[in-house]
Amino acid sequence: MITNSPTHNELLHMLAFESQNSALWAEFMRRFHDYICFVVARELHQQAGTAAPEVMDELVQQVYLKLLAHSAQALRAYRGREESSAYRYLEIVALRTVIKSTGIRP
Amino acid sequence: MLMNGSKGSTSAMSDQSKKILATSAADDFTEENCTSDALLLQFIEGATTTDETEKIQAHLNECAVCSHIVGSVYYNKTHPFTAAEQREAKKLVKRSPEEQAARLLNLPDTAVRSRLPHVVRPRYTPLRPSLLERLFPQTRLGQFAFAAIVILLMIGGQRGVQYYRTDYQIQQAAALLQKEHRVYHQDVRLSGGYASSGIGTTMEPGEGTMGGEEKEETYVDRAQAQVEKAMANGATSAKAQQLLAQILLIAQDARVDSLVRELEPRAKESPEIANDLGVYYYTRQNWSAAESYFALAQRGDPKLREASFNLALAKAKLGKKEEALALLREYLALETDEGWKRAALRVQSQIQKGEE
Repeated sequence: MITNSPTHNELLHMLAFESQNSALWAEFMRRFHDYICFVVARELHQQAGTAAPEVMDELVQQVYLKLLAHSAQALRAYRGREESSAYRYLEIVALRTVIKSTGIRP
Repeated sequence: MLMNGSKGSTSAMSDQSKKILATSAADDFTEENCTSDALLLQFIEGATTTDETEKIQAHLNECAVCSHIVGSVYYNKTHPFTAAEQREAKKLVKRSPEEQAARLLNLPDTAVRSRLPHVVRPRYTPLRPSLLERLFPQTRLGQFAFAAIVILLMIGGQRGVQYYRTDYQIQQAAALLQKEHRVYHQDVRLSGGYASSGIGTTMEPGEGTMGGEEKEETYVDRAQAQVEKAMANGATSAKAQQLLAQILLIAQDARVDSLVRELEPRAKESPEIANDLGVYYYTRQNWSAAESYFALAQRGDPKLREASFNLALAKAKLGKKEEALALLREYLALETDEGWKRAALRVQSQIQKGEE
């Protein structure tokens, strides 16, 4: 449980260095999980016209794996200027993940 | 054209960006030579230097993936997720956030640290958009246009049904009288040229009836039924009331009296209604009331031939023969229907001879 609620940017920064902290992940999920799902679902619909539940689950999982890969390099590289930057960044990561994972080129 | 507010004119690439670009090459999840996700974010937020901006723009011209990502970010920014999209996405995700987190944290380190295999490689066949989707693309404008057309069709359909049940029935009843009840006679005429009496409505009993015990339905009955049905369905126009009054007058139905009371306030607005009210009083032998209404109708519409003809008859009844003959002469100059002309000439002749 996160007591002193960090900003979005602080949360991503904390996760970059404590990527196995379950409380931080729970907070991250609470804030961003739905948004990541929406981005993935819209991209899948736009690219493929449809999305299956098992594919959605795997793609969302891939997004998280990408954030964690190489000692959370993607999270360490993040430099947000505003609070909304976190959403934009996760959106970029999610979009690239969908494109690469599905093999569909825009 | 990508929109990017390039910040400053620093020609040198910032240390941070250099670092990000350097690390992006080693990033397994970024295309080789692709701009890193972190730098792409800076570009989108207008935080890159001029040099960086130029390099990224050049890259975007070459790389369909990065250019698609930038385009999608702008699109998502300007097109927030709709409630329907959110519901759909939530339906598609079976694992709860807690399950996702637990699964993520329980993965062996090697799974995260090592180069991750591309687990998901579904063979999608992009669907060809249907005709409906092509006509109404999945944009807000397209959806709005589709919804607007559906609503208009519904309203149009409802209006069409209502029109059929009311105004169309009135028109049909009027057409029936026009066809069956245009009798050239020397008596007052209702607006539309109908005879004011039941002339022509008496029909022989049909075959199978026993000595006329059952009265066969006449066209006046049919017209009356149509108008009453239309009024029951909500037709409240003056035209509907006027037609019903005409039919009741022709059928000599006592209910015409109450309907006439309702129509009287409308006489000033409608010369046709004034003429029919004159006919009502004429048939009740109230010549002066009839004269007043016919005069009102003629003033309202000098080309209403029924009113001129009827006014001449009313004046004749009141003994104003000269005025009646003058009116008939005016009327004959206006009338184009040979049948009515002959009827008027007979009336003129009767007045001149001093006959009733």
